[in-house]
Amino acid sequence: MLSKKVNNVYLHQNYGIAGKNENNHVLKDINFLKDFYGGEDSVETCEIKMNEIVLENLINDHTNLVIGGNLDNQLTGVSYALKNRNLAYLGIYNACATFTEGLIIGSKFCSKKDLIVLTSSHNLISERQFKYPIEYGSPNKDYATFTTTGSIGVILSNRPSNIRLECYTIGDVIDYEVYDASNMGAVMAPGAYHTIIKHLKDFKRDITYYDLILTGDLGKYGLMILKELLKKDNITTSNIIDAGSLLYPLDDDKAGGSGPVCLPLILFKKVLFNKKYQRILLVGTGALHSKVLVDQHLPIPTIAHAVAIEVIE
Amino acid sequence: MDKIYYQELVNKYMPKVPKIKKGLKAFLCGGLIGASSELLARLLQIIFKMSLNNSYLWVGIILVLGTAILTGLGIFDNLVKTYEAGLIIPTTGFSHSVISGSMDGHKEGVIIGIAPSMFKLCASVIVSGVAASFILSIIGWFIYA
Repeated sequence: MLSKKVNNVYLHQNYGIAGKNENNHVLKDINFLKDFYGGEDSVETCEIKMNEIVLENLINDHTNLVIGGNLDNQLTGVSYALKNRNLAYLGIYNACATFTEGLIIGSKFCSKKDLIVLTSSHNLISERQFKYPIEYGSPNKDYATFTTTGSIGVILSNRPSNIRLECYTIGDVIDYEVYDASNMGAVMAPGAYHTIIKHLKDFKRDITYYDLILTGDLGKYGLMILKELLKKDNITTSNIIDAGSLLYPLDDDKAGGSGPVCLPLILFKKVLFNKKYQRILLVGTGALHSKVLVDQHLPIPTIAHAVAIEVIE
Repeated sequence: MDKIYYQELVNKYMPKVPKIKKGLKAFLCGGLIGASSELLARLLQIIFKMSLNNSYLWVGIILVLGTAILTGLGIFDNLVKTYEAGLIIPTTGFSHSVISGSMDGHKEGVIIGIAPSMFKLCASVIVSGVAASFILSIIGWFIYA
């Protein structure tokens, strides 16, 4: 693992768009698609269109680099949206930890010009890639998470603003031998646990230093497992919230949302509207599996990156 | 951490699956499909004066066609989420997997999109059916030859 303090990196404007299932009064100040296709012919072109809408609202004369990734094979959802825009592009992948990875890499390339960190995901593309055909009514287990549809980007720059990137901890790949691809909470909780412990040790901080610890998409049950793992190190706290478990409060059959957009959507469109959180630790968690290796009966590894941000008044 | 110890920790927090309630729903649904198919066969024999075999053939056709239409309209997958095995085990399940698979590949054309996707899910069913009939016919040849 690698921990470093960051100087002179500030978060500026953000723009997001989400799908039909996310339109349930949890997120504020955001537009929603009417259905899974957004007027396009296929779900892949719909994700490209979502990314194009976000980029059109964020690109200005000072933008010089886009760092982005999404869940589909070969990151086509992000790359195709950047065609012919005269913008340098670095594609990244860490499954659902892609956004925190983007913030960490972006902090290295940050300059006085604008840098965009972009991530997106689409529920039907993940279903088709990792599970069953779109129209097939396979019943989901109660502890399975639901891939969120949406796209969100944020601008990083050296110019001061009221949100500062303070420090980060890059995680390492953890394997606790979970074989069930529906149980993402059990897969990813150990990664979050290891990264949080290392982060607090490297910066000599107590868990009460942070007003809020926001994990990406552990889901309801993954968060309970994480709290139990932290209790073994005598760390008990009530200020850990999981972004994915907040997205679908009315749906009992889902353990929560999953995907790289859960963490930034809840952060920018819900948590930051609440002025009481000033020191926030973002813990993006990702499961680094592919369908082929799960079918070959290999256990699923995970990774988690921690990024600390500070809201200055 | 010990692998078995972590698995116990995970199992402590997993939600309990209401197996009896779900099993009852599937049983009633599957039974309803069976009973109504038999009723339909008798009706076809009486109204259209079909023979026994023909009426069962037509009931099979009607089940497969009805499932295909409901899958195409996007209604059947919501029904499967409620009744699960009650709709997957009968012939309706086979038709649902073929049609939902074919709908996946519509943008890539007929030859490389629709046709291969059709049998994505039921390929192993077809292979095992062909393999089983081959083995049984060899056994049958030895017994009856």
